[in-house]
Amino acid sequence: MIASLSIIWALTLKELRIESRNRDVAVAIVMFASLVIAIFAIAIEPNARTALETGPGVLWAAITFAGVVGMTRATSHELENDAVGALMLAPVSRDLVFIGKSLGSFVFLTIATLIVFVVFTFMFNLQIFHAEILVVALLSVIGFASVGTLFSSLTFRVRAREVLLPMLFLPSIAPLLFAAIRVTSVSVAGEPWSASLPWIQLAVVYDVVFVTASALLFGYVLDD
Amino acid sequence: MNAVTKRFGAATVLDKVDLTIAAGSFTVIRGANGSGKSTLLRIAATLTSPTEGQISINGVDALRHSADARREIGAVMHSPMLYSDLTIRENLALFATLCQLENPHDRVEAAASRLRLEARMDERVRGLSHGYRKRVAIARSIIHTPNLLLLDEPETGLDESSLEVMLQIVEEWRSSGRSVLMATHGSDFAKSAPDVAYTMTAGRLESFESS
Repeated sequence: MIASLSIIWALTLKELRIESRNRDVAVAIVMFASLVIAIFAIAIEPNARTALETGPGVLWAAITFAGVVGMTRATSHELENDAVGALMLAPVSRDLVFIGKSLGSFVFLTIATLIVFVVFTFMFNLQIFHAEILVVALLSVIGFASVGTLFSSLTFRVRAREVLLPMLFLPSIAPLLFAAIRVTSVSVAGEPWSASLPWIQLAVVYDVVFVTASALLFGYVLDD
Repeated sequence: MNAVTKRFGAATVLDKVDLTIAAGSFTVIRGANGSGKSTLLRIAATLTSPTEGQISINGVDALRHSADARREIGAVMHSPMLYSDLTIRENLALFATLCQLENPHDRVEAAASRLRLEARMDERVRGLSHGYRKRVAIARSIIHTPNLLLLDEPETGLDESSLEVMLQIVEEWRSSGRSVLMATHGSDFAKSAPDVAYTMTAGRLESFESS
């Protein structure tokens, strides 16, 4: 158990170290999401009513598309010098590699999402730092990180991976995206926790199913 | 390896290859580019799954228990398989940690010293020449003292002194009862008295010489 944790920590630390030296994944996510939010804010010119109607969709669309951009960037580190081969040569279970890589993505996505939340609050003048929104955001980031890690690994050796990754990733995270948008909508509308609960439950079920499935499939997709 | 076949679509890259590497032996596979040498080594390193056949490394079924099999393998492949934004030390330390070695720091220093990398340990791989990257890859391949060392054209990009070190490592592996399997397209390095030499043509191990 301790050996597994040290392996996971080494892999997560590797992801964080590479990102801290480039900052291209987090910067790509924050810049892309901020631009999307800014474009919509300029186009909609949100007032109190339109911000409530369109804001949640804009927020999560921005985070989702920015997440795809970030994952594509993260994949490039693994492809340079065929670096991912070092992980494949290591005498460790592919499950641990998956957990380590997913945790790294989870950290970037969490930081980027919090920054995007601040940008969104400023642009749409909507208070979204509610407990239920933060919970669904956490669940969404867990799902995005694990499914994103699986699909970015699946597209490692595909020539058109920049196209294929969103085509696989976006439909797969649709339930999670839907839950996040619904929770954000009911929460900013001032509805009670109970209105958000079914969507949070959906996000929990999604994470349990998809994180498990991604971990099980990762070993197969990593092999040639 | 027993009847190992690898197909990519309609193309058969390896055709029912049988290969046994004896403990303490240095085996060389010579062959032209595209003959299937690299695929054979990738399969032996568990980087690629065969379409058919069995692989056993030191009694471990490499297809069923690939993580255990990888503990027995050190590999230097065509590409260095290093993270460009990590330093030499960090790349080696990552692999040592993944191998769950005792005293990983000492093992990193020992492997680096062997390949004369000490002076540049804190430099990022991105700034290293091809030959230096190859030396780091070789250091990584021996860090866990594997029983089987797989070398895919290791001489490419290495200078004379690095080649000398590489030969010493091969000799050390052979004399300590471990094994080396090297693929090459026929350089002087391959003539360094292998115990067994094969020629690979179109996915088949065709000829066999034993010293």
